Amino acid sequence: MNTVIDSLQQFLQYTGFANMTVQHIIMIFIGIAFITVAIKKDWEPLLLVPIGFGMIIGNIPFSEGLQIGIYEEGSVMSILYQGVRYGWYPPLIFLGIGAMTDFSALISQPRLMLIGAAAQVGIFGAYAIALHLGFTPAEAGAIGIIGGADGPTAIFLSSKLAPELMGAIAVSAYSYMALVPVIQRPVMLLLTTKKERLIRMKPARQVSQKEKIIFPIVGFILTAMIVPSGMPLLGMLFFGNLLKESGVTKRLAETARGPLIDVVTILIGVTVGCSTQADVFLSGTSIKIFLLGLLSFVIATTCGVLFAKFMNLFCKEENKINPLIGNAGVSAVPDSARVSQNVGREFDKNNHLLMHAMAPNVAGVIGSAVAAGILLSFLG
Amino acid sequence: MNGFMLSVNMLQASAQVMHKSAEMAEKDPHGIIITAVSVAVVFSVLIILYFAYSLIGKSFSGQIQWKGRKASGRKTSGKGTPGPEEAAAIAMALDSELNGEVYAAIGTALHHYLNDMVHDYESYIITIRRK
Repeated sequence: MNTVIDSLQQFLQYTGFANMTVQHIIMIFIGIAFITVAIKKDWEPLLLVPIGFGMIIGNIPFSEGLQIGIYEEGSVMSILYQGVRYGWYPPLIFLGIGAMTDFSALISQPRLMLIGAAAQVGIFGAYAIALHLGFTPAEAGAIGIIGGADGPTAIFLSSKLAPELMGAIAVSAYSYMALVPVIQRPVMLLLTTKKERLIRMKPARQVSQKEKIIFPIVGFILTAMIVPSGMPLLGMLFFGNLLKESGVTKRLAETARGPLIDVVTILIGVTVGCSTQADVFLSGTSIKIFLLGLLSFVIATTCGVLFAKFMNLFCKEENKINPLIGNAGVSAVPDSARVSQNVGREFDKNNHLLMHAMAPNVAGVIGSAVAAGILLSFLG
Repeated sequence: MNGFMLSVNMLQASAQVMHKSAEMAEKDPHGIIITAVSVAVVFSVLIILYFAYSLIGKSFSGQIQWKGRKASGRKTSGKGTPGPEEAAAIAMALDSELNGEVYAAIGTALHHYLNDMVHDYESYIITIRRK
């Protein structure tokens, strides 16, 4: 009888209930909140559902030594997490993004690329502020990249520069990407006049297939030659786009933008969520990271909108840029371009800014990968 | 063995990051240099891309006359398709072969399209003169 009771007591000590702390409960509730927001509000559900459920998985308490935790060498979760820790998943995501992105808007209006460059100032603004808050330059660089509004890039850079902060940085980046409409709209309205919001942009010219094929090759050679450290991201982005545009690798392009990106998104979401274990995640540092992430988003949007206004000073009347597309310089594709379209239509129902906004938006993807490469070459 | 090598590489990489980070903290404590240089590089990269694609775009839309190519003095359509002369020739060939008015219409439409005579977009400015 005693043996049975002892066994039961031993078993109970192994259960999650016996090891549960308040921090674990908080993290599980945050995970449930992510899932709820994704389902109810439809905010980035493809990311927030896996991350949210990953948070729940990662915060079920257990006794160490069973090789089940994400930080325990040899466990299944630890093996899956290697893609995040060593930065394998982000380039694969970029391959899929390249294979699903139509760069026509950018090719037909290359001047809008500069707005994508201006929005990257958010990354470096947050970097400087993070230094003042006491983060090391490597940590500040990893935090600043949240301003690029690019989850895979944030994971890629933080895995190299500050692996201990990766969970907070990834969750922060993806959360703000989901909140793009909420964060960007007030900034856009604050910085533009009613007259500017009504500007109608000239329709973009048609782009030939040859131009679309040349684009990824020339784009990759030029960017990778200048910033070789951004090669894993840029290489996969442009390669994916070549698969799409070449017209002869349809199956590969479909796999890259379909099953492959879906599998990697599932793995990246669940493992990133799982890495947010309460003892590592719930700290003052995480709160600082969240605030800095928000700040970098605001700076990036501000710089994008202001730069569009600045460009207008040099444009003829018929070539004016609607500054509402400035927010799209951050690389949350296509969410931020959609915000430009929606805000534009609030003031003129027949003004469709989506295609114009896609140009700085995809330039933002290139810009944030370049920015990550620069930070890596300075600090990595 | 591979796992061990991977861990050793990771440790070396993180030691290098720490070293570079400490060096940067000493050289540029406020992050001004790294910010200025990085912003300049990002802009340079995208400006170079801008010039490259502008050039490619111009060459494809026929705004650049390459050596060896006859200057016709007329604005081409920029679609990488035959000019108005070719369009007329197509129309004539179709006409002689099939003798149909439909083909003449296609020829005229092609001519208009290739000459950019088709109304693509409005200027969005409407002026009404009051008497």
